[in-house]
This record gives sequence, C-alpha cells and structure tokens, in this order.
Amino acid sequence: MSTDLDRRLREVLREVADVPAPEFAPAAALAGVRRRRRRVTALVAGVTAVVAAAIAVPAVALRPGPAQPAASTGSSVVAGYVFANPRIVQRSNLGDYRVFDRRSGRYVATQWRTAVPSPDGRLVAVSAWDYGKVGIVAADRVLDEAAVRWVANSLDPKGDPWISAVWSADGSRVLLDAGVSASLVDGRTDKGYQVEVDALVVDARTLASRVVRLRSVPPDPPVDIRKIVFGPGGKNFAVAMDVGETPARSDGILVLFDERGSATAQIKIGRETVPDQPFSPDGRLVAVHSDVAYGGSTRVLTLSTGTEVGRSDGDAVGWLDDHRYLVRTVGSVGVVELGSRRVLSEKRLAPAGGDLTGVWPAALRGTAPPGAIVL
Amino acid sequence: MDAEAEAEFGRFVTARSAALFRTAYLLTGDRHEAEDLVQATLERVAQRWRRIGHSPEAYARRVLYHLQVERWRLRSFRREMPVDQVPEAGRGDHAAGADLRVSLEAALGKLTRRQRAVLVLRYFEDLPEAEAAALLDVSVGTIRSTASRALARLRVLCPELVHEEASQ
Repeated sequence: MSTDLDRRLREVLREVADVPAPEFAPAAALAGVRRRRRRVTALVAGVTAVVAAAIAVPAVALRPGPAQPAASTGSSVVAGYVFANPRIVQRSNLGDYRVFDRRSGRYVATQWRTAVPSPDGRLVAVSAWDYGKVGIVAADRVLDEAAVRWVANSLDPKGDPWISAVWSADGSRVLLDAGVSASLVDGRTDKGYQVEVDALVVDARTLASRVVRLRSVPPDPPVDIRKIVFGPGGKNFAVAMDVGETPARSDGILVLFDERGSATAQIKIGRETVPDQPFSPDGRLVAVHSDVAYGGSTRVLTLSTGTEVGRSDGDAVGWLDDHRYLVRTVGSVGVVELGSRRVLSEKRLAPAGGDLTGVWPAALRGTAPPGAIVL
Repeated sequence: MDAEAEAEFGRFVTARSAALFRTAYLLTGDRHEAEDLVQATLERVAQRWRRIGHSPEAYARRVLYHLQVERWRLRSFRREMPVDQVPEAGRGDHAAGADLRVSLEAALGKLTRRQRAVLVLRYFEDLPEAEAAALLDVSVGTIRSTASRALARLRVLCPELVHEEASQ
C-alpha cells in the first residue's frame, strides 16, 4: 500500500513541478556577489576595530555536573571569540553562524544552526542542526561540541524547541519556543482560534527547565509567530505574532502573558517585531522595530495603550537604564533619547558603511565584562 | 571571478536554473518565492564558484534546501492549522487528476518547511535517505521520522491520494 502511495506521490509531485521557469541571468547573481563582498569587507573591518578595543572576557567553562554560575568572573584567560551573525549581513540565511576569532582575525564557521550569546557574553545558547536540540556552552568553547550542556531535545517530552534566542536581561535564564499550535475554539467561527505557545524556560546555571503554556485568543486567525520574549521585568512573557485572514493581509500584535501563561493584554505592533529585550526597565514601554535584517526603524509604544511615544531610525537592540535605547543602523550603533528621532552617540563600526553584525544587548546595563560589541 | 569562470557559471545557470526553479517551486508553492529562492541560491553558488569545483549542482541544491528550510526566527502557523474541511475525494472523472494536483499543492503548503523538503528530496529528487540526510545536515533517523510524519499528514490533508492509492 505504501509503495503505491509513494509511486502516486512521485507522479503528482512531477505534475506539480511542471511549471514554466523564468530566465535567470548569471549577471544578476554575480552583481549580488559583488555587493555582498563589499559589505562583508566593511563588516570585518568594523568588527576588528571594535574587538581591538574590547575588554578581555574571562573564560567560563561548562563542565559535567552542575553548571557554573553565569556571572562568574576573575579568570585572566581571554575568550577567543566575538560573535557575528552573517544572517544579518546577508540577505539569505544558510544558517552558518560564524564566530570571530580574535587570534587569527578571521571568521570561523560554527557547526550550529543558531548561536546566541548571553547578555554578559560568557555563554551561548546554541541549537544543533538536529532539529530541536538546544544547548548552552561557554563562549570560548563554542566550537567544542563536547562542551555543550544540552537542555532540550525534540525526543523528550518537552516538545520540539525552536530556539527563540532570548536570554533574560540578567543572563540567568533562556527562553525557548517549545511548540506552537492553533485550534478552533468550540462553537465559534473560523475566526475563533486559540493559540497555544509552549515557552520552555531554562535556568542557565542549573539547567533546570519548565514549560509554561501561553494561551491566547487573538482577534483574527493566527498566521505567524514572530518571537517569544521575557515580559516586562523579566518575570512574565510576551509573544509577537501575526494575525489576519491571510499572510498577505496580516497584522502584528504583541500579547502579554502573566507568569502562569494567561494572556493579560495585547497591543498592535503593525508589521514590526520585537528585539530580544524589548521592554524598558520600568516595564511601561516597549520598543518594536521593522522586521528586516538591518537598517530599519524603531517605534516606542506604551504598554498600557499602545500609544507611540518615540520613533527613530535603526533597529532597536535594547534599553539602557535611563529610558534611552540602543539602536543598530547600517554600520553603526547608537543611542536614542525618548522623544527624539536623532541617534546620539553614534558609533560607526564599519568605516565605509556596510552591514553591522554581532550586536546583541550585551553589557547594556553596565554588566562587566562586555560580551561582544558595546558602546 | 575571472572571465572564464564567469562563462562557466553562465553555462551552469543556463543549463540548471530551470530544474532548480522546479524544485524551488515544490518547496515554496509560490512562483515569486521560488524565483527569489533560486536567485539567492545562484548568488551563493557564484560566491563560492571557485571552491565548489566540479559539483556546482550538488552545492546549489544544498543551498536551495537550506535557504528554504531555515528562516530567521520565524515559524509559520499555517502548518499548525487544523483542517476543518478536508477536500472532497477524487470524483473519478477526467478532472480527477487536476483536482489531485491542486489538492496536493494545498496539502504541501500545510506541511512544515522541513517536511516538505524531505518529501521533495525523497519523492521528487528520488534521493536515498542517507543522501537526503547529508544534504539537510540531519540524521537518517530524522529523515525517516520526518517523512513518516509528513506522509501521515498528507493522508489526512489530501485524502484523494489515499483514495487513488486504494482504487488502483
């Protein structure tokens, strides 16, 4: 029986694929390569300049047994890597995260599908190509698979986690998206979908984890989930999602959840998404930015009403303690004062422009030592 | 890239882009997305043309699948949507073939990107499990389980496929 199904499937797939192909011009691909080469060159120059001035990062090794505290300091060993994310640099994403090796001055490909450094830069959450396998590793051993402490695996009951790349601001916890489902609410029309997102919260120190099921009924059918993040104050959760009748006519909302997973509020965020740490330290504001790889714009909204109170160029990266926020623009990082559109204290990281990468909300709060690139 | 390499790359594009596009169409289900995907793939191939030596086709396919399967922190709900109304089974008339094709296209759109990629690799490209696994950088077991889940889902989403199967 299954052999017949296989055969039939083969036949129909060939029919489906029988579509006229457009002409592809080799020159277009070559032009794209030249553009990218210029960008990467500028990027490498920029990151190298910053690395040269960076403060040494003590090494943290995760050994078998209980994990070491993330905030441990005091070692004189210099971590060898600063993170870069070529997915931001390049339009397409093959998934090849790379780390910058200070000693050789070159980028080194990692074996990870995703690699996201903690705010203090000492640890990295990594996901393997083996789907759903997520772990934590010391930054200076990020290329050493044996050093990874696995915290989730799709084969275990915790589901099929998709790393959401979100660390808590203090670096003590990692948040993973362990599964999403949408189901019709009984007795309602096709608009009555209940969305359930399983947030897997992992303690970075002990590696203990728990699943919090986040339930909400969005105003329209769900289309995409954009990101799951820790909520205001780092206790609760928030999910940015697309809702709408079709993907082409969808709109974004940010749903806030309490610590038990019940939806408490939602605000419209349009076509935008949220950075890893989108909430102001007092928990009253949220920064949203355009959902493009880089060079977009940021809006600041009040959580209570969704009113816009700030707007600037650049993609929000995170907040400072004094209601200013950090943005990433093409080739630079800058600070924006609330109510001002201007990017202040801008730091050009790539002298000739180009694309910036490796900017994470590291050390924004004065955490020492800084992880990657800081102002 | 020197002139000779550019000419070689041009010949590769002329000879293989249509085939890549068909695969991309199966993976995306959308002509424009497929076009984008192939264009991005060709850029990547051009970038590494010197290093990929005698196997640009294999490298291009690898890039194509990875580009499609991976998304920057974005997951689609569409694959999770329950189906409240399954399509009608094939009617046995001359339009049944077209219906099945349309139904299968719709069903493919409801699979995850990876499930779709695995099905295309196994049943369109006819790759053995080990080669499909190598191309997607996953284990053979993952290919098997993904294919199994995808087929199970297709049976629900596209019952015509099963009816056709049973009637033959």
